[in-house]
Amino acid sequence: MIDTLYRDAPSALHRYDSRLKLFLLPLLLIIFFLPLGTAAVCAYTLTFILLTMAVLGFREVLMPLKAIFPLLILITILTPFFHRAGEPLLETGGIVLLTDEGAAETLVYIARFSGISLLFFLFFRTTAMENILLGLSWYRLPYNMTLVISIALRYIPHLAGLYGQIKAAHALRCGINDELPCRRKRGRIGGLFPILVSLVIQSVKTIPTLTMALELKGIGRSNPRSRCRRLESPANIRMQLFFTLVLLVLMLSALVVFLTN
Amino acid sequence: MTDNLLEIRNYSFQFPSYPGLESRPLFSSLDFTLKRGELCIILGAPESGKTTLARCLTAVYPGMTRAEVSGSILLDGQALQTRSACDWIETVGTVFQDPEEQIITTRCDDEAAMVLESIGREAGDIRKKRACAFSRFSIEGKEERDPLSLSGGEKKRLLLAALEMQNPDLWILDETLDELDREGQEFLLTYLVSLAAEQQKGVILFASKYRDIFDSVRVRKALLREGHLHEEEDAGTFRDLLAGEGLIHTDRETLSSGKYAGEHPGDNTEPNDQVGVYELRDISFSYPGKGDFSLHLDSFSIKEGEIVVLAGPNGCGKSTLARILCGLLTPDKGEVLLKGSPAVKEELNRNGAYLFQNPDYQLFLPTVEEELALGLKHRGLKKSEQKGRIADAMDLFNLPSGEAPPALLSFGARKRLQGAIYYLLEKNLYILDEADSGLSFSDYGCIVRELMRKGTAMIIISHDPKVQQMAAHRVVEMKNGRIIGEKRL
Repeated sequence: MIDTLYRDAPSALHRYDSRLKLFLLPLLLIIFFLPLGTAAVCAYTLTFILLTMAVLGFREVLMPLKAIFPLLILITILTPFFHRAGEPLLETGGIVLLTDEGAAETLVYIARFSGISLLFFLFFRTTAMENILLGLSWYRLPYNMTLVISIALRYIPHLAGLYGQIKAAHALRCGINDELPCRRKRGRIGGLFPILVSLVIQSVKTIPTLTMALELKGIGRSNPRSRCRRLESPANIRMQLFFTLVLLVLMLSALVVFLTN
Repeated sequence: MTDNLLEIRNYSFQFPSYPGLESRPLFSSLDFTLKRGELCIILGAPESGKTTLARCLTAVYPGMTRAEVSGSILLDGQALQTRSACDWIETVGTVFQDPEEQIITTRCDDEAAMVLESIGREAGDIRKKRACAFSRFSIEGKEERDPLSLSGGEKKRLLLAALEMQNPDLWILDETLDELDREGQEFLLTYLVSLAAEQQKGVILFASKYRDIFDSVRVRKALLREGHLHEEEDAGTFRDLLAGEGLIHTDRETLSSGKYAGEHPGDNTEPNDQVGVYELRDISFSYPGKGDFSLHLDSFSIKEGEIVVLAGPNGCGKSTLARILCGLLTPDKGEVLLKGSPAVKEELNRNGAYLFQNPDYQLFLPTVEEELALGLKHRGLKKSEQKGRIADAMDLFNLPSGEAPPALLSFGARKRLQGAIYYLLEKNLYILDEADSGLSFSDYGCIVRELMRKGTAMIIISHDPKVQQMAAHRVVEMKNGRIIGEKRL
C-alpha cells in the first residue's frame, strides 16, 4: 500500500543524521525565497544539481526535473508576459515578447523551482521514511501527527508506483493485431484516461483498507505508545554536527550581508 | 475467561445494493462457536463471504460499509460491537488476504513491531519477540527491507510473524496459505495446530479450496455456503459438499485429460516442437535497492501450445521471469526472442498476457460488457459480432450480468473477468501468476481451461501441486533466481 522515494546507498548524505537533515531542510529552503539576484539563485540551484550528481548520479538529477518539466515550460512561456520592464530582447510587430528583466525573472523562477524540487528529492531519496518519523518524534512531534505526515508523504510516491503498475497492466490489454491505444486517433492524452480511471478506483479503494489496517495496528487507542526503534547516532556525528554548524554560520552570514546591503 | 472464545449468534449481514448489482444477504441467521484450543478451517467459494466474515470478526466491519447487520458476535463473552477494532487487538488479530493492503510501514521490523508499540510494550520485549518470530517464519535478515520489495509469500510470512508477536487469543487468517510455498503451507498448518492445542488459542483459517495437506490434520472443517456454515461429521459427505462447490480437486479438473480433452481445437495438444515462441538468452536482472536478489538465466524457452509450470520457493524469481517475458520488466543484460527475433517492450506487451494478482489494475470501464468489448473494438469487429463473442465469454467465465459494475464484483468474479478479457484478445503467451490465489479449483479451472483453448503458450505459477498437475507439460524448478532443473510431465 505504501511506497517511498527512498533508495538505500552508501553515500555520506545517506549516513547523515536525519535530525540534522530535518534541522537544515527549512533553512536551506528559506534561502530560495530570499530576493537574491539571478546569478545567486542559479548558483545556489547549481549546488544542488552538483550535489545530487555526486551523491546519486546524473540520471537521478533528471528524475525530479522530468516531473516538473511541464511546469517549467509554463513558467518559461508565461513569466515574460508579466515582466515587461527593461530592454526588449525579442519583439514582433511592435509587440515586445521578451525583455532582459523578464528573461532574468524567468530564469530565477526556473532555478528556484528546480532547486526546491531537487532539495526535497535529495532529502527523501537519501532519508528512510522511518528515520524521518523518528527524527520528527525526536523534535517532540506527537505520534498521530507524524503518522499523518508519513501517510501523506508516502501517498504521492505510492500513487506514482501504482500508476506505473496500472500503466503496465493496460499495455497488456492490446492483442497481437490491435493498434496500441496510444497510437490511436485519440492520441496519448486519450490513452491516459483508462489508466487514470483505474488509478482513481484503486486510490479510493485504498482509503477504507488503509483505515482498517491502521485500526488493526492499534491506531486510535488511548494508552501511551512505546517506541521499539530509536534513532542511532552515526559514528561521525560530531563531524556532522560541526559541518551543520559551519553551514548554519555560512547561511546566517550570507543573510546578514544581504540584509545590511 | 469463558470456554467459548468466539460465539456468533443469529448473525445476518447484507451490503447495500448498487445499480446493476442487486445485493443479497451474505449471512442469514449465522450461528457458530469456537472454543479455546480449536482450529477451524472455513472453506467457501469466492463469493461466499469469507473475507467479510473475517472482517466482522475483527470488528472493522460493518464500520463504514453501510451494511444491514443483526445478531451478535461475542468474543470471550463480550459483544464485539462494544469496542472499536483498535481496542480488540490484544484479543483478536488477523492477516489480510492481500498483504499489501495491511502493510503500512517501510521497514519489516517496524511493521512487525507496530501493534505491540500501540499496546505500549517495552522495546526490549518487542525486540525479543521479533527475533523469535522472524526466525520461526524464515524472514530473519530482512528486518531493514521495505516490505513491499518482498515476494508475495514473504509478505505473508512477515504478517504472520507480526501476528505471532501480537499473540492474540483469536487468530483470523484470510486465505493465508495462498502464495506460501508448499513447505511454508505445511509448516504453517502444523504450527497453527500446535498453537491452538498448546497455547489454547482459537484459530480460524479461511480458504477457497480444499488442499490435500488439510487431510493430514484432525481439525474442524466447515463450509460457508449461502450464508450458513455447514459442518459434517462424515468426511465423505463433507467432501461431496466441497465437490459440489468446486472447492476440492477432482479428476474433473485434470484439464489435459478426461472431460475436457479434445473438445476444442487447442485442447490437450502437445507443444509444437517446431515453433519456439519465446526464448530468453543470458538474462540478468536485479531490482534497484533490493541487493539480496538477482535473476540469472542462461536460457529459457517455451513453445507454441506448451504449458509450463514455474515452481520454487517464495522469492526465487518466478514472477520476475514472467514479467520479463511480458515486457513488464526490462532485463539488465541479455535478450528476449519472440519467434526467433529480438523483441522490444511494446511487442512483448502485445504478445503477452499476464493475469495480475490484483485484477483491478486492468479494470476501468463502468460495466462488465464494456470491459469485454474494448479489445474487440480495437480489433475492429462489428457490433453484432462483438455481442456474440461477449455473450460466449460471459457464459464460459461464469460472469454475472453484463450491466454489473466491475469494481463492485467479488474478487473471484473480477479475476474471472480478467481471464475473459484476455480470452477475447489474441495473444501468444498467457501467464497466470498465482492466479489461483483466492479462487476455488473450479473458478481457476474455468480460467485455465478457456485460455488453453487458444492453443498458445502458457506459463502457470502456483505453489499448489494439484494446480500444477491440472494442465502442465513441463515443470521448471527455480531457486535463488536460477533455474535449477525441469521435468516433463
